[in-house]
Amino acid sequence: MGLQPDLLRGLYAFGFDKPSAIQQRAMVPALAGRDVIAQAQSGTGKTAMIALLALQTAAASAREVQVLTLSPTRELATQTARDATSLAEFMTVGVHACVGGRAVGADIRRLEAGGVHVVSGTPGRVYDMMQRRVLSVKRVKMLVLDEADEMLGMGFKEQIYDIYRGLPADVQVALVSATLPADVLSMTSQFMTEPVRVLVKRDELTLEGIKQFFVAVEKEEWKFDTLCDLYETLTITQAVIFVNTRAKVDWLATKMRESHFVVAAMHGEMRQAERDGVMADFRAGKSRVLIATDVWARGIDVRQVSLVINYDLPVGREAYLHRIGRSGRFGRKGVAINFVCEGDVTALRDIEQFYSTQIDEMPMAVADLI
Amino acid sequence: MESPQPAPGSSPPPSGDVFLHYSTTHSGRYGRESLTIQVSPTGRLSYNNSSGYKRGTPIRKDVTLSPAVLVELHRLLAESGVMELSDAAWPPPSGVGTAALEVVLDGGSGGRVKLRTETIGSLLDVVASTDADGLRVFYYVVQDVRCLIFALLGMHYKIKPI
Repeated sequence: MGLQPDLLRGLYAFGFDKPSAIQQRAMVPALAGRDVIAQAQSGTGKTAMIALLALQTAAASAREVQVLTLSPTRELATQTARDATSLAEFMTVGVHACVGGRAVGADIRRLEAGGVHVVSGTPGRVYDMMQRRVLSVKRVKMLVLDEADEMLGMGFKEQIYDIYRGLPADVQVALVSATLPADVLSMTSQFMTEPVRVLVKRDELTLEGIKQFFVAVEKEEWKFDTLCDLYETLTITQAVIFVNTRAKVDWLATKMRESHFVVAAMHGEMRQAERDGVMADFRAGKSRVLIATDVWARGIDVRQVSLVINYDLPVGREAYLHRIGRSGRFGRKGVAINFVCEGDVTALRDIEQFYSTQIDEMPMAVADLI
Repeated sequence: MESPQPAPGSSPPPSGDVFLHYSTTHSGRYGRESLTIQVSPTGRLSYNNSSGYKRGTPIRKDVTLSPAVLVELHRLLAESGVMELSDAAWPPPSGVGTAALEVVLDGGSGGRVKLRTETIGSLLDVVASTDADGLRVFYYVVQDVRCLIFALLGMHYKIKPI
């Protein structure tokens, strides 16, 4: 692929040997300067690809920011920056995570000091830094939208366009996600030029390695007992439990703790320092069961996670894939268990049909599958 | 792999023939969504997954199945007990959706069956039915057929992501 020798050294030091399908197919056109739309199943190397693209594209000789990658959550932007930093071990390329919730002053100092070539951030803070004229984007060659369907959805679209308008007119654009519904693809012509599209049909998006199950309960209240019954299974490795609201994260975490179960909890209303602490503990394996909202649904890579529980079914079909994709990272095995009340079964069957996948009733010996 | 039982005094078409049509359909927020699997006696597999979700378009896949797969499909269906089922006592198709299965074995001499019911949510629905045993057979044979077909299509079309 013509990667720089210093980047290749970092790659091998990081333990990479052979590129995954998406890396094989999307890297070459992207490095040739083409706009790309890159879709691949969860946990198959998209973040590493973004890091590689960014590092190969950012020439260390210039002092300005050359690559801007945007992610929907602070944790994901930080993870991308961290991965890029690891791969850049033998390079002189500077990588900076520019995310909300951290001290603005520190961001300003780092960016003004120069030597930052790659910025991985969340839209709000990045735009703020552009407005303050601390982040100069005059020399940005490449814009990467990770979780692109989310970034071009209702919540972020305006902010993304604001940022995009500030970039040079000839900026190269890369869209990356496991899910790229047709309505998102149809709007890409507004800011992309003849993109190379590496797509995966929705009926080929689920991974064989992730076994999906459901537990039908008659009443919502019974979900809690079901979860308690499963707790020992959860702690075999690590598990993430998804619920749909921040209040419910707090409620469930409190209720679990009252029943003497050890759980961690994370959602977007918590202070960033607290979120960082929860992430650090979970990544280190100090906590093994995490209750979270969809802030945790996309992109976060903790390889020991082998079990995902949808305590609530997600609202969107994309979120379903992203959530279960927190397990089964890079070819590992995973298990997803959906808790469904009477009315939810239909919605789950619709998801099953939409992706042409198999979601079976949960067998008793689920621990054997992890 | 064991060979299918030739039907006694079978006339053409030759024994081992399978015709299968399975569909599950519902209409809701995203328009009409359906999944259809059809296997014809010539060995043609036609698959269609349609959804208007976020302006999605139908996915069609057509392949020719090898004789070995057809023999296995024939065995699976003949041994499942599905050929003896009747949907007379099953819940009729409803707003939840429709599941339909039609099977003809050995050009009819191995039996023919045509079944239609409401989309089954979980085994709770099966147990609650007046023909729980029959519906359970249907539930599992549909699962087996889907599993087999998805596995075959996956092997044929899907690029290994890693």
